[in-house]
Amino acid sequence: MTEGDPRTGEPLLSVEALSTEYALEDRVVRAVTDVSFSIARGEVVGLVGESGSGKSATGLSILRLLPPEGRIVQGRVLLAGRDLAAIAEPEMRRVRGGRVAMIFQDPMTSLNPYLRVEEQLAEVGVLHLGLTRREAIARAVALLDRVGIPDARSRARGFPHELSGGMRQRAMIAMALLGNPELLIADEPTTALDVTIQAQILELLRELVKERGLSVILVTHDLGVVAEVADRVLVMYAGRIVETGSAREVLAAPHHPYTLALLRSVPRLDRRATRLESIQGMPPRLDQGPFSECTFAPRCRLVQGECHAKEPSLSPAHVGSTRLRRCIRSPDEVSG
Amino acid sequence: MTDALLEVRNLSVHFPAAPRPVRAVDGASFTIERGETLALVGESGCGKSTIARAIMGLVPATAGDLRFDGAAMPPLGEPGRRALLSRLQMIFQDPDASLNPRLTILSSIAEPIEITEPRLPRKEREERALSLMSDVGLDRTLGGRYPHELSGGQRQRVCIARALAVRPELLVCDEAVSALDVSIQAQILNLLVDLRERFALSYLFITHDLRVVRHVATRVAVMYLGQIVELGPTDALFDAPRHPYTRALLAAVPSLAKAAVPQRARARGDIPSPSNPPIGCRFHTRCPEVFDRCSKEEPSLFELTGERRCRCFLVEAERIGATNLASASGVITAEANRADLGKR
Repeated sequence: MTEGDPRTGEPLLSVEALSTEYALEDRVVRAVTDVSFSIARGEVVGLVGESGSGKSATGLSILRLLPPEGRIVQGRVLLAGRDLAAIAEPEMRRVRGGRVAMIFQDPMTSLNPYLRVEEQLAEVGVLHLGLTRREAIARAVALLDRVGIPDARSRARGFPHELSGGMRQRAMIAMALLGNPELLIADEPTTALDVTIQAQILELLRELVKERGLSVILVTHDLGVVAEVADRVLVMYAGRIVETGSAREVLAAPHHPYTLALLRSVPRLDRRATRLESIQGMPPRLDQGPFSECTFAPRCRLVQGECHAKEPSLSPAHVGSTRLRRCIRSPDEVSG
Repeated sequence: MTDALLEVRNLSVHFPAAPRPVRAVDGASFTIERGETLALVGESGCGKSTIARAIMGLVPATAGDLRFDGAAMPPLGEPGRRALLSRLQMIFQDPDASLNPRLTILSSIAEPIEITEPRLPRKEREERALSLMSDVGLDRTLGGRYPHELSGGQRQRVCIARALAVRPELLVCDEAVSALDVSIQAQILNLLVDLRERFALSYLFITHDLRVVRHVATRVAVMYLGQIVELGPTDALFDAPRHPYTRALLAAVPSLAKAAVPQRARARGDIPSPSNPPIGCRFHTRCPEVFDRCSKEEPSLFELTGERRCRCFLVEAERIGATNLASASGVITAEANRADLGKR
């Protein structure tokens, strides 16, 4: 397999100019606008933003798991060269849980409460790998063991409600791994968990990335989680990517005023600030586009006349830089 | 401890359940001084919200003593409790569950005034509600709106205004900023800090978020499975945590600075059920520093320094280790007993 090989520089997944809309009763909400990014094998990309930023809608669009009112209106989702936005549904079903798997914040909504853990996990092995039920169960138990469920064999015979929240999320991860995915989309996988359990699950994700060369799109609202596990970060605001680059660089010195404001509004563990920086106002309503100005302009501390003239494009901060941002101000003006 | 507004002594709250009661809170003691913010922090099932509810009279205490401004707090529904209504108020995580969807914002804020000061003329009541809206950063023109027309952050401001309407002295905040996006959370935290100064409020701040604790609290009580395991001034406790659980909690918080966390600081395994807490030290099943005594005896919350308390054999032994290691165990027991007796 040469596709998506990091040595050839070809990405495993590349999302090109993706736009997604939700057609509600009385209005159309453009949840995702012109989102482009790619992910290499073994890479962890953090998709970060606040409520309504479009981060989850982007994740759901990739696997075409949008609710009935949602649809991709533009763009391509290329998995090793094949456009997931265009393939037929039966083919898409083989991709889901196969080459691309997804886990969510609340494992209870993904697990069938009436089925023993091993039965629902075995389903994946039977469907995607053509295993017999017995083989599939053996594989499921081995994976439950791998993700750190103690006494996996007997836990597998139990029901989901008998597992703790952390154990359920481990079971979900095991289920996601059953089809040997190359890409895992994890939507707020640790948000509902206690912090000591969150640390364990993040550690597990890191191990799996290393061990299996798994690529991960980690959808989260928590910049700290991004800092812990992501190689690269995409910061989303109002359905758009407003900044992207290596997680370390972006978090250390953001090039977009929104990223900076977001970072400064998180209280810190290592010192007490007298005042947190908050972002005044609210994000724009996404049923009222297209926008003729920068979508962050009404809340931006660095706003100037030009910001209202047109929406800036996502472009390199310096010629040839891999860091992109949707802002006309120079990086020095932003962080200075 | 000269000016305690709230005193909680040996509070236990057990809920009847089969096969055994849930020991949600087991012997918690702390005070809140006037003007101070005490944070109760811990993970699911540690009992932090139950303590808040017991203080508000929403759940009965199984044992223990609650005093407000020097006087015993009668349970809800008993004579004398009503007088406390206006002195302590509570705000919750979910403003939607606290606001009546059919009341306008102004009516919601004015309602508690009507209850506590029924003789106040309507005009004055509404004037006060409007001025409260300004106090919490809400535009007065929103007064005629309904909760669903407001954002989550604005709705939480309404709840704060409503709580302040009766001019309380103590505000109990139960995960009050946990459901908010960080940029909005920052606004509300700043507001709460401002209001504390302006209205000379004291806070009991209940949260699972240690970053929030560091920002707002003057003192912190760390809870685990119904017990306070460490207590002390915020900066001292965060800069030099002593209890292995506090250390594990702090180590687990995802950090923007991405400092490598030593593996041994981590808590292993799952949080046990509060209906069946481990024997001995309740944290011993997950503790990276566990030794044999921890599974046999229960450590007490001993005094580390004047203001700090810790519930751990190891920390206790370290403290007295310098003087005489050989007789450590005997000394610990004697001191622990004295400390325990002193509290009762």
